[in-house]
This record gives sequence, structure tokens and C-alpha cells, in this order.
Amino acid sequence: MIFVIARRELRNLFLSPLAWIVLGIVQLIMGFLFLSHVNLFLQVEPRLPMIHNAPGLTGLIAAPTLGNAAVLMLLIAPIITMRVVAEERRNHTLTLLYTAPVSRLTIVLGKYLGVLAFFLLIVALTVLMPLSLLVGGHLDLGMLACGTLGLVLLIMSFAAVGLFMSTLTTHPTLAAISTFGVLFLFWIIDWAGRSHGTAGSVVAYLSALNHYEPFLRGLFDTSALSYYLFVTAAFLGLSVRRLDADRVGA
Amino acid sequence: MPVPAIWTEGLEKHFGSVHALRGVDLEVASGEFFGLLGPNGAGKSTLINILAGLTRASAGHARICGHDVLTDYRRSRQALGVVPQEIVFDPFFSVREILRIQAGYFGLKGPENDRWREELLAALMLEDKADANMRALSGGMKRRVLIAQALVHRPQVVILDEPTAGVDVELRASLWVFIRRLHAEGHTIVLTTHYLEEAEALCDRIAILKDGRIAALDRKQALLRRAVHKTLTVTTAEVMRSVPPGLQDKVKKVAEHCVELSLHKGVDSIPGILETLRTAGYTIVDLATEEADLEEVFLELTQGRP
Repeated sequence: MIFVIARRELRNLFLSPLAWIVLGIVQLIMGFLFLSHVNLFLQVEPRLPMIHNAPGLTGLIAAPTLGNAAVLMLLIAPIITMRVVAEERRNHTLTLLYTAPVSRLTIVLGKYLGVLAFFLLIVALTVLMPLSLLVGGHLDLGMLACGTLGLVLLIMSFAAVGLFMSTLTTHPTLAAISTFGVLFLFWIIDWAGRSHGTAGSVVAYLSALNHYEPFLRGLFDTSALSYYLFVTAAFLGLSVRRLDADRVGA
Repeated sequence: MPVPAIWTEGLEKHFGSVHALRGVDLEVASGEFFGLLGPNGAGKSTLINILAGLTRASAGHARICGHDVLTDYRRSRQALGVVPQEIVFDPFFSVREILRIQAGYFGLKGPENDRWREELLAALMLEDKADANMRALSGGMKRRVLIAQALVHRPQVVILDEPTAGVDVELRASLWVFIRRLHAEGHTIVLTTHYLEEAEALCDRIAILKDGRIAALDRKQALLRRAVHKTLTVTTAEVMRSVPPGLQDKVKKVAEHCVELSLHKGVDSIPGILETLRTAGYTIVDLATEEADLEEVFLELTQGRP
């Protein structure tokens, strides 16, 4: 049943122009950024043999491209997730799901997997760009895989936050704004942490950006993995609770 | 003893300070055509929402075909199809896709279910529009799609929440033909409607809800017999200039040669009324009596009309 809901969600996304527009714009921006990194690499390439332990194609092109993709995800996650529940609640189509023999957890997981599939498509298209360098160069595939895993984990948590925000309102725009607010806070909380000693470092631990960086350097950080999985599970759990509150009808 | 299609015991529902349901006990037998009537705010929709799993009761129990709506919700929802009052639809899908997705929610796939969906499309005269987007359909067509959606999993019990609201006469007639067919095939039908003549024509038993309680629950004929009033229409040879003082509180309508009076069955006698008219100088040409219809019973029960 989860996959029926997920398939419907994904199809719903592609039946509206929004998903196509987002895909097009993301590819355009990512293509531009990728080419900028390639251009920069070509400029510094003659000096690289003189540097000890110099970064290669992966460090100078793939990692920054994936880093840029994360910032872009911060902007598009609210747009893609805003409608998932909010619009269905506004159109009263959520009742069709509520009267089916499916649990609230199934509904949340189905919807989540549907939007996640869309984000994974964006990741796949993004990763194809650095992979295209294999045609004429050498890539550290382990580092690239690690960076990609980091991006996927980051997006998993973003999608969960967006889904939860969408369960709180009947207005997709409001859901998008609040999702952006929460994600941006998760991003910049790192800044607050830098200048406030021990308490600051505890706050900085909550930063989504801090946990992404090790993956970009090719480090598989289990603490970061746990962080993303915890954030994802927590917001999905909150979404289930929120949908269950509909039934109580308070 | 056969398992009732719908069974509720002591259902209560509070929405903050509003007490929407106040201990509703109800039993609808399998295969029955049951009417659920009541004025706006009586609690009909709340009751339906509890049965459908959209709302959780504050107290009491509800079962569909013996399955508790809370503890055995999967099987209770498999047994129930609800046609909602509002026209709700996914704006991006075609009719055929909507039915396929809805069937998917119930775990139904395979050629047998494909055939059933095609049968539904044909029975509801939606074949021509099967690949049309929902946004392109008229209100009546959308209402038919909602009925098809509610039936896509072949539920034993079908709740129709005002299915003909805002529907034109022709479509209404065709919908009733289809719903009668469903009933003849063994489905239990629960109908809520504001068109009381529909309930009178279709339902075997009727419950009238008032202020969250069941004000009356009986077979249709027994309910009609409860009416304490009937109508007497008297035609006179003379023009009806004024109604005699003793009859003025009973007047429903006055025309040139005709007066329509509402009589209390246990109190007013027709010979006495006629005598009063004759004494006032009128010659009686014709008279007719009419028993109360469901609408009058409904008004007496819900508005406390004497």
C-alpha cells in the first residue's frame, strides 16, 4: 500500500507543471555551477603537480558541485513538499485516503517515499555531471559515492521536515515558508555555535551543514548518519501524530 | 443471528464545548435500505465520519459488519464505501486513474478488478469520460465518479451522504436507478438526504437524528403513522371570504373556493369542522383528506410542531 501511495504522489508531482519547472531550473543552475567548477579546475590544473597531495577532479569539481546541490535543495525542498498534505487537506481529498484501510504511518511513508523519489531523481541527474568527467579523467569514486550518500541523507531529512510542515496547514505557501524557515535555521545554527564555547558547540551539533561536510571530504561519519536518520524519523513520527490528530477531531 | 451491517452503542462525540453525538445506539440490518435524516447540525455527518474512520468517537463503540471501526479498522473500511457530501477530487488525474488509485488503496489489482472498474464506469454512464481529466467534468459527472470511487472495492455497506444535492432531475433519477440496483444486489444502503420524498420512496427503515440523539427510529410506515396531523381540503360553492373563527388556527391555505385545514387526528372531527363551515353560510361541494407525509413527521419530530 505504501508504494501505491508513493507512486500516486510521484505521478501527482509530474502531472503538475511545478515538478518539471523545478527539474528544469535545478538542472540549469547545477549545469552552470558544474561548468564553473570545471573552468576553475582548468585554470589551476597546470599548478597542481607542484602542490603536495593536491586535490584531483573529485575534490575540485565533484565535491563543490555536491555542496552547491545541497544549498539548492534547501531552496527547492519547501516547494516540492509544500503540497503533499496541505493541498490534499485543502481539497478534502485526504478523506479518500483516511477512509481506505491504511494506517496513518502507511500514508506518511507513502507520501514521503513519493517526494523522496523525486529528490533522488534530482540527485541522480546532479551526480551524472561529475560522472561525465570519467570520459576524459580519473575520479575518486569512493569519495564521490560518499558525497552522494551525504546529499541523499541531507535530502531525506529535508523531505521529512517539509512533509511535517505540510501536515500543519491547509495552505501550501505557508507550508513552504515554514519549511524554508526550519531548514534555514538548521543550516545557520552552526554560525551561532561558533562563538559561544561549549554551549555553542552543542547548538552547532544540530547544524545540518556540519554533518554534511565530512561526507563531501569522503569521510563516512556514522555520527552524521545517525543525525540525519534521527531527524528524518523524528519528523516522520511527528507527521504521523499530526495526521492522527485529524481523526480525533479536536 | 446475522451480523448487523452497522452497529453502534452509546456513541458520543464532543468537539470542544459542542456535544455533537449524545449516546447514539443504532443497528442497521444487512441488506437494508436505511434512511438517516435530521436537520443541519443534528449529528448525521459526525456519525458517518465515525463509521468511516474520519473521526474518533469520544465514547461508545461502532462496528461495520461486525468489525470495530477502531480496533479492526482495516476490515471495517473494506466493508464500507462512503459517497461524501462534498465533491472532492484529485485535479490532475483522469477518471480511470482515480478509480485505479482508489482500488490500489484497498490492495486490489488484477484483471478481475479492472473488469469491475470498467463495469462501474459503464453502469454510471462514465465510459465516454473515463480518460477525461476530473477538472473537465460537470458537477453531476464528478458526483458519479465519487459513487464509483466508493464502490471500487465492492463494499457490503454503502453510505450515501446527500448524493443528489445540487444534481439535476435527470441525473438524480438515473442515480436512484443505480442505487436501487445496488440494493437489489444485496448491498446495505444508508442514505442521508434533505429530499424527504426520496427517503420516503426508497428506505425500509428511517432514523431521525435531533441534537445528537435518535429522535425516532422505525419502519417507514410506522413512522408515518406517528403523525398527529392530517390535511382536510374543503371546496365550497361560495367564495371563501373569511374562515370561521373556530377554524382559523387550523388553516394551512385559503383559495377562492377552497380552504386547506390541518387537523389533529385525536382532537378534531371532520363532521364538526364541516358543521362549523355550514353554520358560517358555506355550502360544501367537495372534500378530501390527505395523510401526513414524511416531511410532516420530520417537522413534528425535529421542530416539535404540535
